This record gives sequence, C-alpha cells and structure tokens, in this order.
Amino acid sequence: MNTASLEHDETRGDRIERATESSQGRTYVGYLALGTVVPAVIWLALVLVQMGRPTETSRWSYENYQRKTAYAESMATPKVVLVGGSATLFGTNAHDMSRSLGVPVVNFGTHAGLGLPYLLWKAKRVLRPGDVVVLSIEYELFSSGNGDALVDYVFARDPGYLRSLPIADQASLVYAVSYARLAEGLASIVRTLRPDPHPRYDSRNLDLNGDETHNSRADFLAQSIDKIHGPGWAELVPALTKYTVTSSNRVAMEKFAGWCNSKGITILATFPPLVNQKQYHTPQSQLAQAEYVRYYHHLGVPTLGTPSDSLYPMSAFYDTGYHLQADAELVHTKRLTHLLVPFMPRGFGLAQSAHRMQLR
Amino acid sequence: MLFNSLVFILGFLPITLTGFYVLGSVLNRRWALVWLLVASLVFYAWWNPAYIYLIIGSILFNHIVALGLHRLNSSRRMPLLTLGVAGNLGLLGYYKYAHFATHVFHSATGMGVEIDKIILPLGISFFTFTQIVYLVDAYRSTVPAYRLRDYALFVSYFPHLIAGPIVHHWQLLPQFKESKAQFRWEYLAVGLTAFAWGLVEKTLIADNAAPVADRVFGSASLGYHPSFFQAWAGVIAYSVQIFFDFSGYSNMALGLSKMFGIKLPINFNSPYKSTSIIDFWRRWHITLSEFLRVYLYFPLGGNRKGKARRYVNLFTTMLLGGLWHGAGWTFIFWGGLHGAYLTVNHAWRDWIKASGRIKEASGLTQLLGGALTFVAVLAAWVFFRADTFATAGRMLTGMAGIRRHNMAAAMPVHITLYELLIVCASLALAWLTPNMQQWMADGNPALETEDVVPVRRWRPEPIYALVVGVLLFISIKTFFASEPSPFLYFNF
Repeated sequence: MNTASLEHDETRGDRIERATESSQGRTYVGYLALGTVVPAVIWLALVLVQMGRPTETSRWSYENYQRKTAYAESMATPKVVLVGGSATLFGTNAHDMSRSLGVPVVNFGTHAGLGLPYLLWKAKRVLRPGDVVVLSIEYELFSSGNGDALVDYVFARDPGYLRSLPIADQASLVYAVSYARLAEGLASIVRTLRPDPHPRYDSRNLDLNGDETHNSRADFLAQSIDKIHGPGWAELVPALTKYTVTSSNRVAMEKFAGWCNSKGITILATFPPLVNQKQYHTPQSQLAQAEYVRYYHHLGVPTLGTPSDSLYPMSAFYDTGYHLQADAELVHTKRLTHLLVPFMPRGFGLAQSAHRMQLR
Repeated sequence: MLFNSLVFILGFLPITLTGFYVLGSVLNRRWALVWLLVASLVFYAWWNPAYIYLIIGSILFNHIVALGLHRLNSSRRMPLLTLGVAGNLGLLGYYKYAHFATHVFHSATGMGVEIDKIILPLGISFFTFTQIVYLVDAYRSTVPAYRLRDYALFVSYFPHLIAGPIVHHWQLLPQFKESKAQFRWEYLAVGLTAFAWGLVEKTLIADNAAPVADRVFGSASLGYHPSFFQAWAGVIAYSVQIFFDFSGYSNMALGLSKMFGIKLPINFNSPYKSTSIIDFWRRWHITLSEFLRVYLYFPLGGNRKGKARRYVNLFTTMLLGGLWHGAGWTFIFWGGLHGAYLTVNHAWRDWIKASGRIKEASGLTQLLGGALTFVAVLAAWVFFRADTFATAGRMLTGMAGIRRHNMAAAMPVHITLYELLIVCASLALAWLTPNMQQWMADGNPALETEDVVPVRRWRPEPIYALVVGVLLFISIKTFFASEPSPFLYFNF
C-alpha cells in the first residue's frame, strides 16, 4: 500500500467518523429540543385546563376587589382613589379622609402580592377623568416579578387580565405558575371549593370605603404578637438598602402615569407606612429612599412626604411591618390628608379652610 | 446581558450562532469572526452602552502597546511594558479602587476627599488581567503580532468576557485562526449540554441557597447576633451559593464557546473535594490561580529564594488576589487568610517530607484533610461575604457558639427545614458527584488538562438528551417566576 492510498483511506475514515458523529449529534440535539418543548407544551395545556377554577387562597383579594370596585363605580367623579397593597388597605382610613376632604375617597388597597402592573391595571378600571389617584406602593413591588399571589389570582379569578396582555407576557404568567399551584388548580377541577371557616383576613371586615375595620389592638392582639415579635419578623419588612425598579415595573408605571395625564387624572404618590428600624437610617438606606422619591419626580408625579415620614414604631403594627393598627392608621391618614390638601384640584368640593382647622 | 435570561437564551444566542455559521459557510471565516466580535461588543454594551467605549479604548490601547513591543528592540521594551501595565492598572484602579483608596486616605489622614460615584464596569478585572498577560508575553516575545480584529475578539469574546475564565492568547487566538466557522452538530450537542449543566447549577442550586445566606449575613450586618445554628447554616448556604454560582457560570461559558467550536480552559475542578488548601487553589478559579502564580508569584521570586522568602511571596500573592476580588479590607483579609493557610500547608508538607513520617496519604488522612480544608475555606468565606469586620465577627462568634449578647440582639431570622435540606443536598452534590468536565470527558467540552480525572458517563444518546432537555425547561421556567439574578463574580 503506497502513501497516497493510506492518506486516501484515512481521509475516508475521517469522513465516516465525522458523518457518524454528525448524525449522532443531530439526533441528540433533536431529542434535547424535544425534551424542552414537550414539557413546555404539556405545561401550557395543564395550566389552561384549570384556568378560571377559583382557589381559596385568591378569595380574599377577589372579594376585596369586588366590594371596592362596586363602591368606586357607584361614586360620582371627582373622587380620590388610594392605590397600593395591604399597607394601603390597613394603613389608610378612606372614611376619615373622605370626611376631612369632603369628597368620596376609596381605599383601593388590596394585596401587594398581586404586583405593581396588576394593581395599576385594576386602578385604571375605576378611575375617571377629574379623579385624584394616590399611589402608596410597597417598596418590594418595584423589584418583584410575577409572584405566586398574582399567578394564583389571575388563573383563578381574572383570566381577562391574562388575555389583555401581550403574548410574551401571557407566556410569562403561564410559566410562572408554581408546581404547587398547578397541582392545586388541577385538584380544584374535581374538588368543590370550601370556604376557610377561620380566614386570616376577611373581606366582610371592610367598610363602605374599602377600609379594614378589624385592625384594632383588640382584634389582632393574639395573632399579631406571635408574628411580629416571633423569630423571623425582620423578614416581614424590606431591607430598603438599595433602589431597584425592574424594567417591567418601570414600563407599567410609565404607562400608568402617561395614561393618567392623558385622561386628566391627577396622579400623586406617597410612601407606605413601615416599621421603623435602625437600618432605615443608614446612609445607604437614606440614599435608596431618596432614589425612590427621585423616581416619582422623574415620572412627573409629585410626592406627599418622604419615606422617612412614614416610619412608625413597632408598637404601631400588628402582623407585618407594613400593617398598621387602627389607632396608628388614623395618625397616618391625618398626616396624609394634610399633605394631600394642597394638591386637590380647584372645585373639588372642598371647604379647605374648615378642613385645615379640623386637621389641626 | 445575563446568560441566565430569556433575552440571551432565546434571542442573542440563536442570532449570534446563526449569523456566525451562515457567514462562515456563505462568505468565509473572517466574516464569521467579525460577526462574533460585533456580537460580543453588543453583548457588553447591553449592560451599559456608555461603557462600550471603555472596553474598545482598552483594546486599542493594549493592541498599540503590543505592536510597539514587537517592533522595538529589547532595551526599549521595558518602559513601554511599564506604560502598558500602568495604563491597565490605572484604569482598573480608577474604576475599582478609587473609592476604597479615598476612604483609606480619609481614615488615615482625616482629610476628606470627594469623588463622584463610579459604576464598576462589568468584567473590568477580567479583561484587564487578560490584556496584562498579553502585554507581558509580547514583551517576552512569546506572542506573534496579531491583527486588531483577532486581538479584539480574543479580549471581548462574550463567553469569557464578564467573569472569565481568564484566557491566554495561546489558548484562544490559534483556535480563532484555525476555526473554519463550519457548523457541526456535535459542537451544538456538547455545548448545549454543558450550558444546560451550568444553568441548572445556577438557577436550581445557587439561587435556592442564596436566600438563607442573604438573610443571615444581611441580619448580621444590621447588628444582630446569629445563633450557632443560624451562623453555620448561613455560611454553609453561602459556600453552596458561591460554588454553584461560579461553577455554573464557568460551565455555561465552556458550553457557549463550544457551540462556536472554540474550547476554553476549565476554571473549576470540584474544589470542595480538595484534601488540602494547596489542592483547593488548584481546583478553585484555576485560571486566576494560574495567573497569580505565573505573573505575580514567580516574578516575586517564587520558591527560588529560600523558604522564608517563599512564604512571604505566597502571602503577598494571595493578599493581592484578595484585593483583585474586591476593593475592601474584608477581601484583602480573605486573601491574606488563604495566604496564611497556604504557608502553613506548605510548611507542614515540607516537615512531613523531611521527617519521612508519611509515605502516602491514607484514606483517613485524606478525609481529615478534606474536612479541615473545608472548615478553613468556610471560615474564610465569612470574610469574603461579610460587608464589615464587625459582621464577620458576629458570624464567627455565632459559629463558635459564643453568646454574649442580650435577647434583643438575637438574630430574627427563621430558616425552614426545607431550606436546610436544599443546602445540605447541594453540598452533598458538590462533594460526591463528578463535575461537568469529568462527566462529559468524551465530548471534550474544554481545553484538556491532566488534573481532570474523566468519568465518561455522558454519551450523545437520546436518553441523556431528553434528561438535559427537561432540566433545561425546568431551569428556564424559573426565569418567569422572578427576575434572573446576576452572577456573584460579575461584581469582581
């Protein structure tokens, strides 16, 4: 065998090996793609099949929204709508504020777990030209994504929200469903929903304005003491050491502010009540707090007070570092009302001087 | 742009791969490499477009200096090399250490120096060191004069740009030169598998260990004292987090590069299986250890000037290694601590050798050595993770079981059984299972090294592909529930 034929044989051998490798590689990549796509399709089907099946965990937020929306829609414009999570629900007294301002005020605070884009989307449904909206957004909401509470709520109670989203966001929500929530949703197809006889929170405790009425010391003492003074209480409040607004939340805020401006709705922002801790007075935290104020101003949204103004001693709270007790709620509301007065549009049915007297 | 994000996995990567291979087959390899260079710069600019000028400026500066080093005669090279290295260190010093330096200056003199907030450019420590190595080799005439295009791609090549591995020109540039930019299914098969392996490490392990570490260290930073259990849980969780975070990134980088037919050096070789600190540094961040050894320890004299000098050199090298990781005293202390560990380890070995007591390490000796090494590494991680010495002190007193605080200062952090199980299971994986290079030895995912003992269990067979595919789905699914978290080594 001469050298040329040896070279020829080697080249042929190489080619055969290459072809085998290539065929093996192609098959491998094909199966890998199959291994990724098939679970994705199965997941989609399993999520869609249980869409609209109510869950007990979403009941409170759902009934809250039903009551609050019904009240807001029954009120004549102009009105004030307080928007936020449960810090707004428990921390502001719309009834008291309404008396002070002489206009209808709706406490539209529900559950921060629903996420910023959803809270704003719901607020848009009840806002009308001439209204005033006051945002009091929990700090975590600026950085959170599709949380468990939102996913649970949308698939159980509000598929319309899902359908209103662009296709990429719909996919995001579908794949944000947790394994536990998927199992619960599938179980709900064959199981009848039974209301929890002892819910932690109950929408029947709301007054006409949407305020929580069962947050007095007497109401919550037993369960609150354990929670706020037990191990892990620090995990119930944000670290507030850095300013973070994720792109999806930034877009939602910008769109909402733009929409309000286009509809002639006055948009204002304040900061949620929070348990006062030494960490909030460090330079790092002060810087982060200032950034949140600057963020609102950048959007053209005036702010009522500063984050530091909304810090209260731990004794003012019960089960989380965001939930005020009733007496502290009134203090916070009075302060907020006082800050709100100069921003109320002319002709808002307000006897300002009389109210200022009252506020003092 | 993060490797663990949808925009990267479903957007950037497919576009870049398609462009590379289409240009490679329709036009030629040169256009494919230009495409890869442009894509790498886009990848960098995605984070902060303004800083694209910084990396381009740095590449141009170093290329010009390297050309000068090639052309000048040997007597005139040293000033130019000094200028080049000083330029690189100056850039790194300004962006990474200016704040720290002014803080030290203020502490020492009491004089206030105000400087504006400086954003640390991503990967600056990595691309600066890569280029210093190149200049030193150009000075030693061990590197040919490369074209600007090839050099720019070598520095900015996106799989290694942000967090390593730190590559040598001789590892990467010949591969670019030899690359035919012709698509091969086996590149994709091996690359995707290695990438998926890294993604699983990051999203399913590191990100699940992170909350425990963050809560414990965060709370200690606020002045709370951890209990014995909290302190150990916190530091072990961090050891799991940093291991799988960095290992995950490194494996993803190897996999990505392999998809383009380019092999990178390995950076990890199961470091928690080390039986000594010397062994640990041969397995953890291998390319940085190699850099420090060749370009710092050896020029300082290495072990050629006696034992005492050798230990001083070791200590100094590790101290600077600590400083490389971050501008802070805790990082420097971490480096110094490892320098001290290495000194003791070498002294111990020398003594053992001289006394002839142990000929070959037994299984028990290796087990004890491994346990001691792991505890020493954990103690050092406390300084690496803690923001101040006070925080580290609280963590260490907690780990030692010392309790001198009142109840009000007790750490209000609750660690669930589930979290604890996750951390322990992850640690067991780090200790007991082969790493990606061992497992996939038949696929040649990385540049070969004799330190890796192959296990060769992976084969390009459908069953493996299906398992990897399902794991890829599970990992990608995590992106939808929360924002992808950046890699820890992005900060260094």
